[in-house]
Amino acid sequence: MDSWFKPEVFRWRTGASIAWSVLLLPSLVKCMLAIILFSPLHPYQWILDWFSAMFSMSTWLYTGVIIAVTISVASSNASNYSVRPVILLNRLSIIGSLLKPQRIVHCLGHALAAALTMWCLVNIIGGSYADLTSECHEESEKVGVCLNERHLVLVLHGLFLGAIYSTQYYLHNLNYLTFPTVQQTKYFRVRCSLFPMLVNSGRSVLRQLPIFYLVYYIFGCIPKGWIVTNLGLKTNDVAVDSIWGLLDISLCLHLAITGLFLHFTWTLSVLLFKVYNTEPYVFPIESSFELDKQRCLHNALEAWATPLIQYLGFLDLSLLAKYSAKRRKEILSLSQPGGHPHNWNYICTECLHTLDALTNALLVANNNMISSAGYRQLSGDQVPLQEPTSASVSSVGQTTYYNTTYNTSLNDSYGGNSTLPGYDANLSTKKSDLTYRGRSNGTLPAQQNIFPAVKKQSGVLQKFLEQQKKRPAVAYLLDSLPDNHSRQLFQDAQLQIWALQALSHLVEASYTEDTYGVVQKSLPDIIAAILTLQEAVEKHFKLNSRVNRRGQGKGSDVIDIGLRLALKSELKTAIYRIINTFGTSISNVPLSKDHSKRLALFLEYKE
Amino acid sequence: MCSLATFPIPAHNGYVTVCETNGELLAVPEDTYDEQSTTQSLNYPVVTLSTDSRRSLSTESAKSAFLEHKETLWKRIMSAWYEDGTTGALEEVANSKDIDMQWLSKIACWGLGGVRWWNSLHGWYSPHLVLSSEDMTAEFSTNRDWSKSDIRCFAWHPHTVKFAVVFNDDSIKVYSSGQDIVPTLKHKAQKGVATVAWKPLSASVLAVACQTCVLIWHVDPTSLATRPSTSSVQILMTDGHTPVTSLAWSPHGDLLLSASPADTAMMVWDIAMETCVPLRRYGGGGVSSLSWSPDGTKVFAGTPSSLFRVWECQKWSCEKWTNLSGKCQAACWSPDGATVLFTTADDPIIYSLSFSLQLDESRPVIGGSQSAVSCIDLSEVCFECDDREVKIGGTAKHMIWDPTGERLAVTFKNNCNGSEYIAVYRTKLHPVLEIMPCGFIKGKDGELPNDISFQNEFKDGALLTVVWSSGRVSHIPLIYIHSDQVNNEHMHNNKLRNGNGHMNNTILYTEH
Repeated sequence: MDSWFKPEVFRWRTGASIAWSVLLLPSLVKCMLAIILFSPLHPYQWILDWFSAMFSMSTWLYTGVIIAVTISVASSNASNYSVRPVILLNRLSIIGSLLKPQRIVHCLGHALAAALTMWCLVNIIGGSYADLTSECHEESEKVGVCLNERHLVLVLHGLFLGAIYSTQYYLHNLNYLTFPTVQQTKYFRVRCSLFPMLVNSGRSVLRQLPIFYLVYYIFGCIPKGWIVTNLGLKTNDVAVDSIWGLLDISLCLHLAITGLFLHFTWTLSVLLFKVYNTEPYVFPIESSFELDKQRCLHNALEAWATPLIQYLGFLDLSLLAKYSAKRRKEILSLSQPGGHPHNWNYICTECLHTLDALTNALLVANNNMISSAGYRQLSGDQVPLQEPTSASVSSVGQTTYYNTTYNTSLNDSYGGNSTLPGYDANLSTKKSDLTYRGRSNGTLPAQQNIFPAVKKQSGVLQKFLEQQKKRPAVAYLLDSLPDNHSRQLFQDAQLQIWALQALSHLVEASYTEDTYGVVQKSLPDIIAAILTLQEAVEKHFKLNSRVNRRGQGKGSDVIDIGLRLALKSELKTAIYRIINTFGTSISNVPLSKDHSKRLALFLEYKE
Repeated sequence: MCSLATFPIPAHNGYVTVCETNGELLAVPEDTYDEQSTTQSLNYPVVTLSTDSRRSLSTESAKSAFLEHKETLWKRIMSAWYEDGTTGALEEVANSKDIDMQWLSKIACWGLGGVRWWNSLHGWYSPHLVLSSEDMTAEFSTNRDWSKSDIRCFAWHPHTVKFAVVFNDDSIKVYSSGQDIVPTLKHKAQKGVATVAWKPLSASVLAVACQTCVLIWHVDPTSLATRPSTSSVQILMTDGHTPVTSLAWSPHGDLLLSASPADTAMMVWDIAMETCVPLRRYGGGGVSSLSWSPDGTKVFAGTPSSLFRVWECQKWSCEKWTNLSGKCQAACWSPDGATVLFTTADDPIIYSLSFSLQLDESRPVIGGSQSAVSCIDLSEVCFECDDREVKIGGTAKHMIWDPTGERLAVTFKNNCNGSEYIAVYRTKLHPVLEIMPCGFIKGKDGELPNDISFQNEFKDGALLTVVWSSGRVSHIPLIYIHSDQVNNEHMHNNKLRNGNGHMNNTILYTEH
């Protein structure tokens, strides 16, 4: 799946997004120039300056350099994106994640790129900031070559901004691809978020400016001294890292505007990358060509190894279930020859698997929560689910991350307690089926080798950690953040939401469009799966009082917390959609007693 | 074109319309009319106005609990500025009723308009922007007399016998059949409620359009609490999107649209995520009314100026119709989403606009016809009734189409003659749109219909609920057989689903 998707779709989309951010750059540079050169008292001079700066050769050369830097920054987005939010369990792992070599390289790279961009900008602007050195005058006599400290400050500000940007990129999950609520065209998606983004950039640059001043005030003498001694320069009479130097308003304005430019161009490239890559992709439902056999929708749905494909697959499925009668017909058709509903079977099983995976994970988590309720008071926050996470933190790729936590939590439960309350025989067979699939998908064998090692270590480590945990400082770092277990369970909730939408809309459409009765056969399974998941989610919400609360933070923090609430409401909507279609005749569908009882409540609109 | 002249003579003075049977509206004398007897057969809950619900609470703030004192305008502005910022201060000045401060209040109104203009990047300045929030809500609400009427709006649940009633003090009561508990919804932010809407495919979610925000209530139907706590409410708010005057839920139940006449963007809300996507198009000066087509493919968005747009809900592109004779006053969709009826504020004519079916699915189109066709003439007509002349007609205030597409109800504006009547039309969608008169609905003497709405799932036809200016809520069943069932050759599969009109009745029904 990945072999064709990456070169044929992902690279084109990413390339187009980079091309657009490059195309927009020259005009952004011109806007910035106009703002910086603006002098209200001499409008004629201002326009003259602006034009001369715009059409000078050096401006174009430096813009070229900025473009090259932006391309490299934008293409780093392509290797760092993730479609599911990364949730770390304790503070130590958050700190640890920032110190990974990959992240440090990212940070250094961005800092250098920002400094380079800033150097180019300073040169484009020209004037007194253009050079690192300036001629010193003392009582109108030329004394020698001095350091132009303002130039240095501007470039260092770039370095600072780049480093901060990279840290925030990971901490606030800016690399997280959020799929849009409504499928507008790309132009309108970009247009409606352009102005808020500009305001956001301005805000964050202004917030960081005082910090930069403080840092420069304290540590500014180090780079300055280094340059002065190495190049044998003299210093100006008013140093920037003195109180008087800091009050230079013109410098402050330059810092803010160039900083805004830098932040805006980079976030713009992230936005374009996201807009292009979250655009729905139409997968064929079936294909008669051998070459395209691997590109069908059901292949995309089971691409656990590359989440982006899987996400796009489920998105496509939910959209076609809503809007496209032609493609729905293809799904509900029978194979020729043979007359089997292969397309429907593939898609239905895949959706049900996705739902069941979450149901099982939730049942285990709920069970653990009940059993550890008394135990927890004695020994901190020791939920057995925590164990695999030490492995998952150390696992390298983000794509493998999910599989480890998900499957190990399941594996653990099989070894331990096989008779969980709420399980029925039907479910556990599906569950073993699921793990079998999980193991076969290539990434797992490697991880299975990791686990024994981790488990051996954990015996010795456990005791050591147990002792250390009693110290408050260590406990602060090691104690799992409240609610993060639950967030981890629901980190793929978007998939389940789409699966629910797709299933319920297909069932709704089947009422009029399903000429062969293909959907009818799996209707009991679908309803049972949805009801079981709904029950498990409701129980989880009851056990975990924090789940209902919404975060006050910004960005993806809220998004992934919102996802589980969205899943909760989507479950009800899906059930109501099915009930609304079939009316009271739904009670003729063979279901277990519990399920019919729950369904009866829904039929009366009492849920 | 259907004219009011072809209507049957309206009910005499002292008569009240109770229902439609055998193809005509039945009226009984007021003294024999018993509210209970008609609703009892339906077993619907009765809305009662308690004495304190008439007292307006929301307009009073904590300040009024203290002795009245002369606070200078300057002080009031300062405190309003602390509480609500610049817009709040301007609002305070605009609302000040001092006679010698008239000029100042005018200036404040213009300032308020300027802020709104800036906030939503209007292309040009529209006259309605200088209204204060309260006046704007009253202007664009579907209620005839929003600021004074006892019941501000009324909303049927789309699936069950349950409705929400908004009272003048901005409290909401949720009545459901077979349940004695009537939950009362109150919230600090729930001020100036313009409209409420139940979420489709859900039992409990109610969206409330307030002056400053949209509130989402989760009213648990199994809960015994009469005052649901504020933990069951979500507040959706964005800058510059006030006052919210219209709401529309997607029939799929996943998205909520909200619109404000002061904002050029309408917001698409994902309720659970509490995120919104602004859909902004320039021109029009705001969005004053929204209505989602029942098949979920299109949205009608009226603006305060002489243009309206129709959005397609897959890619959210829009087409606009301009050169109306005035602002779009009311609009309603046919159940199949192929026709929209709309009327303007200045013309006594209802126009119809038809949409072609989508042919290519990968490229969603709106496919509206180039120009609208006038199909109903509402101009004034004189009836001889009770030895006196009754004049009925004028511009329409509000217009609704019942969910089966068989009946259309129209109320008239205040300044028209016969605004105490509701005109009801028979409509037929297949093979072509046909509109025929049915009759006038009249309340008790001196009562005006403030708000009307159809219940969504009524087995024997349609059920029209009218909120009268006296605070009375009456349910008027319109009993008929669906035309598809009468003309068997036009039987459509998707219509069968609605399960309307049972043929087991032995009474002969006339079908026009």
